[in-house]
Amino acid sequence: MKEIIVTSRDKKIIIPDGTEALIIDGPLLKNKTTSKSVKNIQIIIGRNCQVKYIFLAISDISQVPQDRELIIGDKSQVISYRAYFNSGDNNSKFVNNLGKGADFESRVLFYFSGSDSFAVNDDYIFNKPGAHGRFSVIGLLDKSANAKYYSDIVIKPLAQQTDSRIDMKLYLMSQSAKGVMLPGLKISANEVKAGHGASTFQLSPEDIFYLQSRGLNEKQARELVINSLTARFTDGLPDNFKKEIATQIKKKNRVK
Amino acid sequence: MRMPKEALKKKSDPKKKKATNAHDSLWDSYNQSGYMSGTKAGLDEQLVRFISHEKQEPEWMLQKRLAALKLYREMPLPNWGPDLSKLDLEKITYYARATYKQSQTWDDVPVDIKETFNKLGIPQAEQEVLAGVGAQYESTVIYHSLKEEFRRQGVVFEDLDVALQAHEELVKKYFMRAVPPTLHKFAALHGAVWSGGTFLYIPKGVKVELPLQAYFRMNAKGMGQFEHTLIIVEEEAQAHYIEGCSAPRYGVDSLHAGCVEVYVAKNARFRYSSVESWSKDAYNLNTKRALVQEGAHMEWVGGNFGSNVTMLYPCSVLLGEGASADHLGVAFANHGQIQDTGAKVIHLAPKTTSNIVMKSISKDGGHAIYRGLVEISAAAENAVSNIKCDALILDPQSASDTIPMIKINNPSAVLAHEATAGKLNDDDIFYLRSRGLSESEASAMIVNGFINPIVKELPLEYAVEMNRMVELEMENSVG
Repeated sequence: MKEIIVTSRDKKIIIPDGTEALIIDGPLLKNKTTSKSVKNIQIIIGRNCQVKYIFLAISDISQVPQDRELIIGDKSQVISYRAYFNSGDNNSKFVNNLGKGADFESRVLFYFSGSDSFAVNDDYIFNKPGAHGRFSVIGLLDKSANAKYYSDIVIKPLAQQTDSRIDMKLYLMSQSAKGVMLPGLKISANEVKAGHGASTFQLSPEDIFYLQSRGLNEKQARELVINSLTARFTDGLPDNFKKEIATQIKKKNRVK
Repeated sequence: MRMPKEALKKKSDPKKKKATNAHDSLWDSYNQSGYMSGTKAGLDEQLVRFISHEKQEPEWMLQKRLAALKLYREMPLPNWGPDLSKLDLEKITYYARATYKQSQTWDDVPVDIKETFNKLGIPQAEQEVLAGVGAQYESTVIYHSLKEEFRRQGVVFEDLDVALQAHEELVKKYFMRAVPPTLHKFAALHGAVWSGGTFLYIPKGVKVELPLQAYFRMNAKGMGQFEHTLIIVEEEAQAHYIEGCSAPRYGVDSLHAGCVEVYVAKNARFRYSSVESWSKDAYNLNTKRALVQEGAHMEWVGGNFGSNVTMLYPCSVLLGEGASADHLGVAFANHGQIQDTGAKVIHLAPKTTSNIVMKSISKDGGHAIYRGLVEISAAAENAVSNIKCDALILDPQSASDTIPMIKINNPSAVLAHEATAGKLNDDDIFYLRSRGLSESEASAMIVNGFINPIVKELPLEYAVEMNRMVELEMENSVG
């Protein structure tokens, strides 16, 4: 599997047809010099590729290009992992274009605390027939964090026989956290399956109580519950990224 | 809403390739409108003063109208949703009085107008299933009645113009409080030129078991209708109110910018049902809002069939602990139509609950949009909301959008949203065809099954008619 690292200087990344690749993206690469002129990075994946795309934000990303356009070639299989733990403001737009017969799974995880503010606009655009997409979002908001997550599945008239679904889950962990979700469907073809779900929860007090009754302190109990919620996201990630995410969860999880 | 008897009897013509719009055959007969000769298109302060003067309104109402007119001039058209720039507001006739007399028996209603309502089946429904009926023709209410037993219990069911004279303090207390003219441009327009509509007052503890109905008819070309429905349901009271709307088609834009305000007091229950079937050259820009107090329950049941463009999002503001709201709706977007409908629920108190179920059907290039908002405020501890939207897209020319905004400001909220979109299931159609149904009949049956969760909430007679309307809209939809 080829490994490709996206830097802030890149305007365009091209993955040739038939490639197996791991694309590592995101402001994880904080030591790279930022080119402020680049706002949007385009990632073009050729036909019949198998790609894992990882975007991990753990430091301030306000000064680096946050917008991405992911173009997925015909019959390619792509899994996208995007995780946000960084402090400061986020404001990014992801446009994902799916080719004919492409199979795209997108997973997004964000965990914010303090006065962090997060706004993401995700569009999943089906231009051609036969594509399949499953998109999931898990958000955790603590203290005064606020998040706006807007996402549209757009199915163009030629994109018949497509199958798409987005699910959003938002966990509010404090009285002053705020969340806005807008999971939209814009469908201009009739031979399609399309759906979305959105739900909000708090961390289950019963679960935390149960774990505390077994000897864990509150911080440990919360961490365990959060890890269970995020397990679906990390499934399939390389081990070093799993570890990084576990570290970030530990850092963010501060008991009041 | 009652359908013309001729339309109910109408059989589909399998040889007919493309359906004329069902609406054309149902509501498009119209009367000569000689009364229009004394009216003019366009809106100015003089007209607003004229409306108020003709209705002999108190000064405070005139001042409210003038303030709303000022707002209307200052406010822009909505910059979201369907394009309204083609609607020429200068060509709309904002006020026309078809008759100067309101009747309490159908015998006193002018013959041509009575004939229209006969075709719509209103007098018959009144005898059979209704507690009271109001009928508005253009800008004024021409008929109003309420069964004596409910009158004796203190129920007031009047034309709002009449109520403004007879119950001025009550009207003053509530009028445009839930829907202030500042809400948007068409609420401001409504505030300036509103005319007619319904005033319904249900006293404390009174339960009106039979539905009350109002029917709004636009007859003349290029007309605007701005009826105001003001409903006050006092503590522990209960009622069901149904509105129907229609207009003939002229090929010239008409405008409906009505307003419905419902005040549901502590532990009261109220159901508002409407079936809107405006002509396919009408802009239906209606505003409906309910303020729901502690332990009270509000239900909105709606069907949107006609109009060129509809923008309609009934809203419930849950103000008191334990208040709840149900929003059930069906929208059918046929050729050339944009049905931009939805629901809005604002949870402002603890233990409030809401349930939204919306179904849409797009056909022959129609565009159905669900646009909704559920907002759970910081004070709404343990609020629960369920939202379910389903869309059927019947052909490749049609489109469907779902735009559900969800704002959560309290961690104890439990909210679930679910939406699906798809086409008719081929296996289902095959099964029904194997039992002898034509493809068109099979499709209509499946669509009726699809909307059944909403239709079953209507009284039986109305449910049957809504199903028949779907069948008419579906005629010749395939093959």
